[in-house]
Amino acid sequence: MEYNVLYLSFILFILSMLVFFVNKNLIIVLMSIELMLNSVNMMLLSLVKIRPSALPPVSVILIFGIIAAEAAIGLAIVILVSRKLKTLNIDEISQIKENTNAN
Amino acid sequence: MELIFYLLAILMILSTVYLIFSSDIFKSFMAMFLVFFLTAIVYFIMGLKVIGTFQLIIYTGAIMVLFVVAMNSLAPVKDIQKKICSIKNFIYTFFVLVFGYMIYKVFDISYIYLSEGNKSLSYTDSISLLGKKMFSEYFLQIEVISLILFVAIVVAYNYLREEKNGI
Repeated sequence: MEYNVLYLSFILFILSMLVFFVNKNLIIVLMSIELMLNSVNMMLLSLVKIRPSALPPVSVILIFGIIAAEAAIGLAIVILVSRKLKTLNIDEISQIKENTNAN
Repeated sequence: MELIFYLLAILMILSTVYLIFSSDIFKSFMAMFLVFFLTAIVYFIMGLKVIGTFQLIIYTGAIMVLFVVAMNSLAPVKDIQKKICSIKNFIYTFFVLVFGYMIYKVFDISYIYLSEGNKSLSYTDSISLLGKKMFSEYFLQIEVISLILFVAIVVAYNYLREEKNGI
């Protein structure tokens, strides 16, 4: 089952990467980053069962801290963008930025 | 157990695939929530009780609440707020259930620890062993992560404070 969890984490990472590149909504892109980090955690924990060690669980707990920090800053930026530009679409945000630079 | 694992894996993959094509933030949030919750169940199936409990507390608990608060604060999407209010009772009930389950797991792990002793437990079963390891061998890493978390909170507060003051 440990190898199945390893394969599952790989599939989830690839799908999350697809979400990151395909979806145009800023908050869903942030969600995809969270999912990628979640699949990395899953991969590390599947390694614990294959070769027992203290390093993977400690790394997972450290990654939890990184995830919390990333979510706090990312969501603050998303709220800021949505209030200032009134949109969450990445293409529209790029368009607004180009127009601002042209002016 | 294998069958349950495969069912959970299929559900997780379908939820992530839904995120690729979704444009509705609320439904995407629910899909992400499902993936995190099912990941915690997979950890429990693997026998990783401590990490599964951490997953429930940090991912399914704290980060999801952070997302709900952020979605409430988004300016242009007014219909999301209505949906969140209508489902508020469900979310409260769910978090109370998760909290109850976490307390049960803490007592369960403590019981195993007291009845069987240290020999049969590994770092993924005993929070005591994991804590001792983290604050002895990995003390510097823990301090760096706590510093990063502190800086992140200050930066997030500063972003939103400046925006509020119109600077």
